[in-house]
Amino acid sequence: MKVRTKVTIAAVVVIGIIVALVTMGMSQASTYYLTVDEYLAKADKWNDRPVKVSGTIVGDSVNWNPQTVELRFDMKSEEGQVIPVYYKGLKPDNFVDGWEAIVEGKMDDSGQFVASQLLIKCPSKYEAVEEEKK
Amino acid sequence: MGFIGDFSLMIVPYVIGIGLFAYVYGMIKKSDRWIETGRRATLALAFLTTAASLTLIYLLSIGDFRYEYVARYTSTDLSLFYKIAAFWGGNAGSLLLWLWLLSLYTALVTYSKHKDSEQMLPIVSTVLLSIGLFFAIVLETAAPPFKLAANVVTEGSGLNPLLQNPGMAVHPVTLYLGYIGFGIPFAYAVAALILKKTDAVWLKVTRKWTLISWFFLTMGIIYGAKWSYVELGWGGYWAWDPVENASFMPWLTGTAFLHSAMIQEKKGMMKKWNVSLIILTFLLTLFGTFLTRSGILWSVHAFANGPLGAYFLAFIGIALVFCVGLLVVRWPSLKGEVEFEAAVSKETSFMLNNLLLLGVAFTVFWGTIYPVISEALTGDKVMVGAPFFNRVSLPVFILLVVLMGICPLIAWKKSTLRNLRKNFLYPLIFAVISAVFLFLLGVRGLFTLLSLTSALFVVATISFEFYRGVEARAQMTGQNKFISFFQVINRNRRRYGGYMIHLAVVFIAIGVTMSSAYSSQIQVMLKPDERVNMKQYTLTYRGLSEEKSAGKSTVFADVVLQKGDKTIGVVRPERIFYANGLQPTSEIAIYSTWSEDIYVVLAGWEEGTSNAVFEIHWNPLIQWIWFGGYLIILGTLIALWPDRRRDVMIE
Repeated sequence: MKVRTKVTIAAVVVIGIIVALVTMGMSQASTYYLTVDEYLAKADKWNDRPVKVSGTIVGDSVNWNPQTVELRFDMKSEEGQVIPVYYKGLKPDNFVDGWEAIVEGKMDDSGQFVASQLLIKCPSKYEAVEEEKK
Repeated sequence: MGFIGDFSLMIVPYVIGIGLFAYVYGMIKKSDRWIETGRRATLALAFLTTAASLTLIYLLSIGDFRYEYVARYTSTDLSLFYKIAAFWGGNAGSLLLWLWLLSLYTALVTYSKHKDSEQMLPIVSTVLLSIGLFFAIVLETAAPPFKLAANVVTEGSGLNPLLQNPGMAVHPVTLYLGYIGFGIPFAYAVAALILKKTDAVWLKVTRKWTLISWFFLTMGIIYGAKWSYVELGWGGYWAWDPVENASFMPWLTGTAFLHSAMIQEKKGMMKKWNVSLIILTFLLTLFGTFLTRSGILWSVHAFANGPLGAYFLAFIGIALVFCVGLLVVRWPSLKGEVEFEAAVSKETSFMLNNLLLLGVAFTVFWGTIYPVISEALTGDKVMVGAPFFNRVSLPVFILLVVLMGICPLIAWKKSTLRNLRKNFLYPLIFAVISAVFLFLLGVRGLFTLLSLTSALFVVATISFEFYRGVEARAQMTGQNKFISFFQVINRNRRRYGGYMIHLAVVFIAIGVTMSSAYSSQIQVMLKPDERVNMKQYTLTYRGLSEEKSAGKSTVFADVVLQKGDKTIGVVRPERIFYANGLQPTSEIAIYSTWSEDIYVVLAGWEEGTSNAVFEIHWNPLIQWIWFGGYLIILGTLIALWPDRRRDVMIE
C-alpha cells in the first residue's frame, strides 16, 4: 500500500471517531431549553427527556430551609403561568424576586418540578448595577 | 484632561486611513517614500492610542465622574489598583485596550527587520492596520470611552465585586495579548499568500510571535480558571461556559498551528494546512470576542447586549470572505515540497496531533453554537452542557497526551522498529506497571485510569529523554551531571523548552483528571461548636461575626480545621453585603496543599440564630493545575530565550 493511502486511511479513521463521539454525545447529553409557557404547552412531551426551563422567580413563594438544605419556589412565565420548583441545594446569592432562573430536571407525579440544577441569570453580571438603576 | 484622549481617538481612524492609503499606493507605485509614510502612520497610531489609554487610566485613577465610563466602573472607595484595572472592566475600555495593544504590536512589527522584510512588511502592516481600523471605528461609533455622563454624579457605581480579584490584573490582559498576538502570524500568512511566497520564511519570522501569543492565551485561560475557582464559589474551575469555550477554540487551533508549523519549517510540508490553520485561529479570536460582546449566548462573562455583536459579525464576515478568496486563488501554489515518506514518522504523528486538536476545536464550536443552530432549524432551543463536552473531549485528550509522549521522540521521515523500541520500551513498561499500581490503589474508572497512565507514560518518555541527553553530554565533556543538565537544556532550548511545556501539560492533565474524578462536596447546616467530617479533615464551626466598613459589611464564620488529630488553623469564609444594593458576594476560604484543597463557602445562615450553612468541597490535586501553569511560563521562557551566538562560538 502506498504511504499516502495509509496516511489518508488513518486520518479518515480519526475523523470518523471524532464525528461518532460528537453524534453520540449529542444524542445523550443534549437538553431542551424552554420557557415556562413552552414547557407547559407540551408538558407530557418532556417527561422522559432532560429539559432546562427558564422563568422569573416569584419572591413571595420562596421557601428556603437551611436545616435540610431544601429550596422551594414558584417560577412565573411572561404570561403569568406558574410552576412550583423543588431544589435540593443552596439558595444562590442573587435569588431575588423578578430575576430569571433556569432549572434543569423534570416534573414529578405531584406536579412539582424537581430541579437537579439551578442557575440565576443576572441581567448582566458586569453591568448589573446599571440595569437596576434604570 | 479627557479631551486629549477624546481627540486622539477621533483622529485615529484618519491616521489609519492615511497609513492604509500610503501603503497600498506605495506598493502599487513601488514608491519607498509612500511606504515610509505608511510606517510613520503606524508610529503615529501607537502614539495616539497610548495617549488615549493613558488619559483613560488617569481619569479612572482620579475618579473623574464627569465621564460615564469612570462613573460606571469605579467609585471613590475603590483602591487605586482596581481603579486602574477598571480600564478593561467595561466594554469601551476593553476595546480601547485591544486597539492600544494592537497598535503597539503593529509598530513593533513594522519596524522589525528580517529576511524578505522589505517585501513582506508593507502587506503585514496593511493587514494589521485594517484590523486596527475596525476597532477604531467601533470605539468611535458604538463604544466611545470618553463619553460624558448625562447627569453628573458624586459617586460612581463601583467595579463589580466579582471583578475585584488580583486575577483582574492578569486574566483579561493576558488573554488579549494572546488574542491580538495571533493577528501577527495571520498578517504574515496573508502577506506570504499575496506574494506567492510559499517557503517557511513567514513561519520562521513569526515563530516567536506565535509562541508568545500562545503563551499569553494559555496564561489567560489558566488564570481565568483560577479566578473562577477562588472567586465564584462553585468549587470548580472550568464549566464549558460559552466564553470559556471562546478562548479555548483559538487555543486549540493555535496549539495545532504551533506544531504543524514545525513540519513546514523542517520539511516544507503542510503548507495549505498551516495557512488555513492560522487563518482559522485568527477568525476564532474574532469569533470569541463576538461571543463575549454580542449577548447571543448567555454566560457569566457577557457584557451588556448592544450593537457591538453586529459590528463584529460584519467584520468576521468580511475577513472570512477575504481569507477564503485568497486561499482559493493561491491554493495551487501551496503544494508541499515532499510527500509523507512513511506511515510511522514524526510527520504523521504531528498530523494526527493536529487532527485531534482540530477535532476538539470542532466539538467545542459545535456544542457552543448548537442552541443557535437548533433554534434556527427546528424552532426548539437545544443545549448541550458540560457532560457533552466532557464525554467527547476526554477520549481525544487522552489520545493527545499519549501522542505527546510519542511525537517528540519519533524519528523524522521514517521510524524503524529498532528506533521505536529504543525510545519507548522502558517508558511503556513503566506505564504498564503504573497502570497496575493505580488499579491496586483503587483507581477504577476506565478513562481515569487511561488518562493517568498516559500522563505517566509521557513523564517517563520525557525523563528518559532528559536522562539520555545528560548522559551523552556528560560523557562527551567530562563535566558532572548537574552541570550537563543545564548545558543540555541551554544548547537545545527550543526542544527542551518544549519538553518542559509538555511536562506542564501533563501536570495539568493529572490535576484535571483527579479533581474531576474524585472531588466531593457536602452542604450542611452547623450550630456553633458543631463539627463535620470531610475525608480526613474535621471542621468545627465556632460562630459568626460581623465587621462593618465603608460601603459594605462582612459576615464571617470561624471554622477550625483539623487533619486527623492535628489542628491546622482557622479558616474564615465570608459573605459580603454592599450598601449600594448590589447582591451579596461570597469570599471563599481555601486551605490548599499539594494533595488536596479544602474549599469552604459560607452559604448563609438561619435568620435569628447563629446556625450557619456551609458548602464544603474536597478537591484533590488542584495545585497541580496551577503548578503546571508556572511550568509553562518556565518552558516558554526557555524556548524563547534568544540564542547568544557568541557563547556558541566560544564553545
